[in-house]
Parts: sequence; C-alpha cells; structure tokens
Amino acid sequence: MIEEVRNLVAETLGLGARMQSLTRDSALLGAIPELDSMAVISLVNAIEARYGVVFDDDELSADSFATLGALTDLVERKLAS
Amino acid sequence: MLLGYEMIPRKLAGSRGELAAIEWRAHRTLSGATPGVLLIQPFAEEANKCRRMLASQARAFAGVGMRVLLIDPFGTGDSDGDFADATWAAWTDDYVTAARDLVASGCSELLVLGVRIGALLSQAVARAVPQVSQLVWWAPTVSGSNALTQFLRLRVAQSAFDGGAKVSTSDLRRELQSGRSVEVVGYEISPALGAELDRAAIDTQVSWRGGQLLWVDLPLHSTSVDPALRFIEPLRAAGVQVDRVNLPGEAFWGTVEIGSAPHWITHTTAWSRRARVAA
Repeated sequence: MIEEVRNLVAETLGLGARMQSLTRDSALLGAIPELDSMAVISLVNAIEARYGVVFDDDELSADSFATLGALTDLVERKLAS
Repeated sequence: MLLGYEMIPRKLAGSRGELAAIEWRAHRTLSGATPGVLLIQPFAEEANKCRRMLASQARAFAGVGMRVLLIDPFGTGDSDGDFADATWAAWTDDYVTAARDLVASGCSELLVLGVRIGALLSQAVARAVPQVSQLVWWAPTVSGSNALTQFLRLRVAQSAFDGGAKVSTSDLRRELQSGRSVEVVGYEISPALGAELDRAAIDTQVSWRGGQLLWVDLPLHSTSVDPALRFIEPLRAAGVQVDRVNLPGEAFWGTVEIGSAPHWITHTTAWSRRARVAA
C-alpha cells in the first residue's frame, strides 16, 4: 500500500527519480515544494478515483499530509471502513 | 497512413458572445463525408492542464482524416465573457453551436469527446444534434455535484494549509445557495453555475439517438468497485453500445506538471475507426 500511495504522490507531483527516496517517515506537506494546496486536492482526487473512497473536509488537514506514512494510514483506514 | 492537415484559428458566433476556436482540417478528404470531432474541455484549471492531451488527440484524429473542432465556451479561454458570467446553459448552447458548425461544413457523423465534466456536457450535444453517433468520455466526473465538491475543496485546502479562516465545502455551497458568488483559486463561480453544476448527472434514460460510447479511466485498485458499473447497465439497456476501459497513464487533468496518457490517444483513435466501420 505504501508503494502505491508513494507512486500516486510521485505521479501527481511529477517527482520522477526523487520518488525513490520517499519512505514512511518522509515529510510531505511543507517539505515538498510541489505540494501546495492545489496539488493536495489533485492528490486527493487521484486517491479517491483509484481506491473508491471519499475524503471529508476534516481529512484535508496538515496532519493527513504530514508524512507519507500518515497519508497511507489514512487511505488504509478509509478502505477498511 | 497519416494525412497532412492544417490548424486553423476560427471565430464562431456563440450563445452570448464570440467564441474562439481551433479547427484541425485534413488536406485531403477521404471518400464519403468527413467524420467530425468536437472536443469538450473540462472545468476551470483542469482545462489548462488538459490542453496538450486534447491537442495531441486532435492531431491523431486529423491524421486519419477527421475534422476536429475545439472551442473555448463563453467566459473561458479566449472567448468573450468573464468566467463569473458563465453558465452551464451557455456552455451547452455553445457546444451545440460548434457541433452544428461541423455538420454544416459537411460532417454527417460526429464524435464528441468530453474530458471530466466535459463528459456531462457532451450529453446535451448528443441530445440536440442527431449526427452525434459516438461519445468518448475521458475520466468522466459522474456527477456535477462531485465536480463542484472537488472544485470547492481547492478553497477548503487553501484555507486549511495557507492559514486564514477555515472554510468547509458546506459553507461554500451555502454561500452559493444564498445567491452569493464564491471565489475559488481565482475563478468566480456564480450561484447559477453552482446550481447547474450540482444538478448535472449522467443521463441513463439516454434521450439521444443512442450510439457508441467509449468510457476511459485510469486503472483502479483491485478492491475498488468500478464507479462506472452502475451507469453502464442502464446505458446499455437504453441502447448505447458501451466500451469501458481502464488504461494506464498520468492523471493529466490534475498533475502538477503537464501530464500525458498516450495509450488513451492510441486507443481512442483506433476505437473511433472500429466503431464507425461497425456501425
């Protein structure tokens, strides 16, 4: 799952080779310049389309996008519910 | 064998003002009537991101002898009007005008390709213009309400991450419903456009002549239920031949850098030819 989410992040943001260095603990929001608020929504849309989940407004938060691990955990929780 | 073609800038008389358009026209016509293509752009910022893919598809269609038209509907791109004055009704009228222009120029069969919200708009063109026999939907938003929510969330994210007062999609919808325009990443959405978007949906009654539909999306996760499924059966029951495919590519309507999905172009071009021959 973390691989897939990492790929989605990399594809949406156009990270290319930089994707390889992303781990669970890698900071996303605030650390990746391409990840502005508009890119967050592009990423949310891509996750919703791929996994068939729907994000609530509350989930559009700094916590959800703090690290790759945080985002992956959120997607997993939504898939499980 | 690819045909040579030219790209011609044009002006059309739209519902509320002049429309900027581009036509791709093959140098030689094929025997029989030239098939026409109308391209329908997605919403707001997505339109900018999709431009390159649409131009690539236009070239691919022109290369096999089709006449392709791309317009900026009222209030968008290089056409007359401000986005704040744009309405769904004006947009559908403008696209119908463009389709009729293709018919008037000699196209007896039309393919309409809609990207994202453009797929929903394509239905009005199919209803109004009997020559439309093929629809292609690229990553369709299955409801205008979903599209509006995704668009309003751009402002929600901005408020959440960039500081300032937090706002919710419900707050913004309430603003629209109480008659106030809402500004989202530089686009002013009027209450009229918001209401029309919220109502837009896939018409499974299919009040168009019923022809062929190619529905393309990116691949889904193995556990995901295909969101197209609940529409495909009713569409088929109403007489539409639906081809549903999931093809790899970049989500070019949303990637930060301009993205592409070349498989979508080769598949769409080949499909349109096969579908025309089979019809």
